[in-house]
Amino acid sequence: MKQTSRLAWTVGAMVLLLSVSASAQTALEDRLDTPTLLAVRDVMARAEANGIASEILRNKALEGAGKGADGPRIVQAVERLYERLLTVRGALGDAATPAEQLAGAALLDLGVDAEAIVQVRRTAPERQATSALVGLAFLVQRGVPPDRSVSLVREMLEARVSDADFVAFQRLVDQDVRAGMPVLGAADARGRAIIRHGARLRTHDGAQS
Amino acid sequence: VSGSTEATDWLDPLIVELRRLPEPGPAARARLQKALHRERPGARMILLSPMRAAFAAAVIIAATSLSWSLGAWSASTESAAPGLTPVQFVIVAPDANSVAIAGDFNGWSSTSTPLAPGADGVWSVVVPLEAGTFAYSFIVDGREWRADPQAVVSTEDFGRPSSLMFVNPET
Repeated sequence: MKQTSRLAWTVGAMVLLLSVSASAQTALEDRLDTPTLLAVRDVMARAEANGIASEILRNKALEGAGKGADGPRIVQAVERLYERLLTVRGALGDAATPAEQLAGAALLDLGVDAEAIVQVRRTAPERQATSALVGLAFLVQRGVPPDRSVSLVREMLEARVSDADFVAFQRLVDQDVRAGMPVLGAADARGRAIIRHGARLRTHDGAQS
Repeated sequence: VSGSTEATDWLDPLIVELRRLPEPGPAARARLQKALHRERPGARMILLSPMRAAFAAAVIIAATSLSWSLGAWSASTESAAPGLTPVQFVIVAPDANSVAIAGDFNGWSSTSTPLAPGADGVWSVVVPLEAGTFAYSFIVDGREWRADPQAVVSTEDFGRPSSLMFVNPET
């Protein structure tokens, strides 16, 4: 009787695992034709073997399907993203999170050199680089020269500006630009203010010093 | 045991009968069934073997897990589960009849996360998201893809715009 119960629980656990797994895979299978699905899965398998978060590639394939792209174009976009993610992994290291990898790939998309990503990582190797990478992408997309953007983001990292402050920084710069201020001036002024503000906060907060 | 909605006095002789049984077995089941029918002719007894009971429990657990997964995937309410940050997406589209958002967080579904219309052509929705980086796009009237004008970064892929959002774990 004990063996029967054990078998029943094993079967039940398998049913549970299969159903959860099926729910995660359904979207891709439902949205792609078979040749595209196989090609995308092949790239995802290569990504996993190389320490890259395959869900980023899965999301790119779903984006293509959602936007009505044909199969070859989806595969091409997924392959291209995979190449960029390989570069990002080389720059950030094996421990890079999916969020860091996606932010890094967006930076490469904007024409930023992989060396900039390396510099961000080296400046603060102990912390997640996502907010800094997104901040860097923000500056570059708003028209701040890449060298100046990297320099400002590194200064903010050295001052141990928090993730929340990086987000606030972007909002404030956009606010200044909408008010008519040149983006470079706004970025410099807001960056320095947040560095000073952060430093003052840390002086009063022993937990962060 | 099903078929009973009245007082439970009729259970007493059944319990007495049950206590007399040495252990459950085919003969005991027959006697139990007989006692049950004697007291409540309309009642029906359902016996589950350990195998069937375990399987039924597993199916219930699997169904519950699935409904939770699907619920979290398509959620677009203002309440967020622990570990999720409520993120408000806003776009001004005064001439739109419908606006939806598609992104990494909903499998790029163009219909599962609609925005609600507000005053002055402002459309909005709150989506609970985990910390991380997400790509997304607005879809106006089911055909026009738009980048988020407030997004930190916007790119274009597949000939249509996408925006990038960083959800900060600290907020």
